[in-house]
Amino acid sequence: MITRFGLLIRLGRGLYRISDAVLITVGLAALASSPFYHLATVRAHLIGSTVAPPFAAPAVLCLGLGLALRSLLRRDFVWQDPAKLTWSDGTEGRIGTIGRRLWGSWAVRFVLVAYATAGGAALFAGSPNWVSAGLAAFVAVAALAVVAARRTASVRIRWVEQLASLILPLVGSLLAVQLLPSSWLWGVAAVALVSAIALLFRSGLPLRPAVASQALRGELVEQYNVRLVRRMSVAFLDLLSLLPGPSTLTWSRLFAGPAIVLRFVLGGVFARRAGLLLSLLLVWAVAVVHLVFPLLSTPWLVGIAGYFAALPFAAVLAKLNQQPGLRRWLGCTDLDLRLTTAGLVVVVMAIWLALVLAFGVPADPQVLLAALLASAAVIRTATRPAFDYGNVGITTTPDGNMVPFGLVVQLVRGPEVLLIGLYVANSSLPPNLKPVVCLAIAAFAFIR
Amino acid sequence: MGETSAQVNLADRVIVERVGLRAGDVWLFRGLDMDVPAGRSVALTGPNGSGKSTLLRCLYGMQPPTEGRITAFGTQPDERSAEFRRLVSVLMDDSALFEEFSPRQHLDLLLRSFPGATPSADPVADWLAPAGLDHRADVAAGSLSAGQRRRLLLLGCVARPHRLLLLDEPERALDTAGLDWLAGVIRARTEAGAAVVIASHSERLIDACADDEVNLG
Repeated sequence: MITRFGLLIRLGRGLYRISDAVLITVGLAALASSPFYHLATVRAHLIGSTVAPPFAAPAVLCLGLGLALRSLLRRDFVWQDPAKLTWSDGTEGRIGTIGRRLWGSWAVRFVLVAYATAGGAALFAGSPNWVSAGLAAFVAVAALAVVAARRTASVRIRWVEQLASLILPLVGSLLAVQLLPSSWLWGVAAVALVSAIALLFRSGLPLRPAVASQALRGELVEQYNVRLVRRMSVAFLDLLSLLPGPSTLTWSRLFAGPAIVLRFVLGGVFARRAGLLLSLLLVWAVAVVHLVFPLLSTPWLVGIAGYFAALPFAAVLAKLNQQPGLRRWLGCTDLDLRLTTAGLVVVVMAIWLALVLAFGVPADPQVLLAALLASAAVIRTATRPAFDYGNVGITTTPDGNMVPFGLVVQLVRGPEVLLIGLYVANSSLPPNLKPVVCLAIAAFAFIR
Repeated sequence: MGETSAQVNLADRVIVERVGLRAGDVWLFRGLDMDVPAGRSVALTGPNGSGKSTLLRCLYGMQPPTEGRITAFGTQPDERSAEFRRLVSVLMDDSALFEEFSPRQHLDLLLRSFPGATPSADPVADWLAPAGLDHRADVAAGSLSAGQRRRLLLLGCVARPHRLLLLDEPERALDTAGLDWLAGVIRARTEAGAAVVIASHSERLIDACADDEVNLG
């Protein structure tokens, strides 16, 4: 029985929670709408006096739709806390919970796409001819995403889904370079709509998706653990733990031959083949961003995107550095391992850069230096030892804030080389000196 | 263990002299002397928390003893040194498998990357079958059972060249047949000239393969 006092306490708590939510919503809304009130300033910083390509906004739309589709089809909403599965699964059905979570994930992603496209349309003020086709593509892809994500998918189907989601950013980049007319958006809408209708069959009821009703306890707990690791990685900004996990290697005699270190590093790449799609996605993302925001520094863009594109290729080296128990399976020296991985990363970066340049990004020396620095930063990141949480090194700043300086120092190992190198490449140093300094920074990162 | 210091050849043995280990304010043990020559096996016994695993970490050079001195083959153990790591093969709590690689791939990797190891044309027949893993040779390690994972980890220790073998509770997750297999493997290593130190709670294993026993309790 609830007393009057208890009721008041509950009411107070409820109001407190509501007021928090309202405050956060108002704050986010204000932040999100701010660029629309300062279009001239934003335009001056990102576009300047240059004329954006006529289909810049639809290119942003396609890129956003591709990212949203790819992200939702990972189906990482299919999880359940093992404690809840054990103690309270009877009172709250897990299928309904996952179903609601799916709709929430879907809504957040596509609201963000709509926001980015609206921002792009306001900013670029190009031809409005694409609007109806763009709207059709948005609705159809959103429908396809929610229908496909509701179905269960084998490993092979997931690969097909991930590859299919790359088509949208590719269409976007081809629209941006005007190799395709905006009428292609009608084609995208038609294909997405037909696929959505076809996949609707056996996808379950609105709040009881098939992917939830068929999920086994083991799968739910595994996804919960993955999510937990990811949340911790985000909290500590640990990029290496955010990389996709390895898949089984079916080539049984992969290591039965000479050049074992190279075979091992390649095996690590094959096992993380899901990361290759991210690298490809980043090619088209760089192409689109470069075309629609010409004032953004190209070396910075290529350097940062290249770093993320190449990071999965060094993931196996990172794993060895973080788990000494795995290192014992390999009898080679650390230097052998580091140089072999570095060679592979440089080759991959060269191929990645060639693809980026094929989409019209200028091949000036600073861009080439940026790619080299990104490769070096990847190796330095991958050779970072496991986080030592005993060395948090809390330091009080002059204004009284507590900063975990020890963790920050561990965290920036790798990215710091990229940022310093890019700063030097874009600085006012004499042109002859810049490559020398950047090469020295890269050499330091490769070796240390 | 009965030789005098004048007769001892430091280059072929592990020597523990008056070693003490402290955890916080409590001494786990003090004044421990132990001599493990090549071709002998010593079992460390004692209740949980008596310092068996910590002593193994000291023997592998992962941490120094609180007092006393340890030498392995004439040098001070140092896990950071690649040369030392090549002499010593270990199974410890942090030993791990590549979840994405199969047992066959693990053995190929091991036998082809360690200097002095003999690559096997058929690692299934040579190594996996005696360990009872032949029917799981091409399955990802992530889907092996706890006992099968343990057998593969043990194979990882014994298949590569080594002069000292350190095993921390190797019997964990093994069934009776697995224990017998393990005892045979350890005996084979001592017969091949390796010094072996095992921390164990299994009397069956100790009786089957240990030449000497040191009780830390």
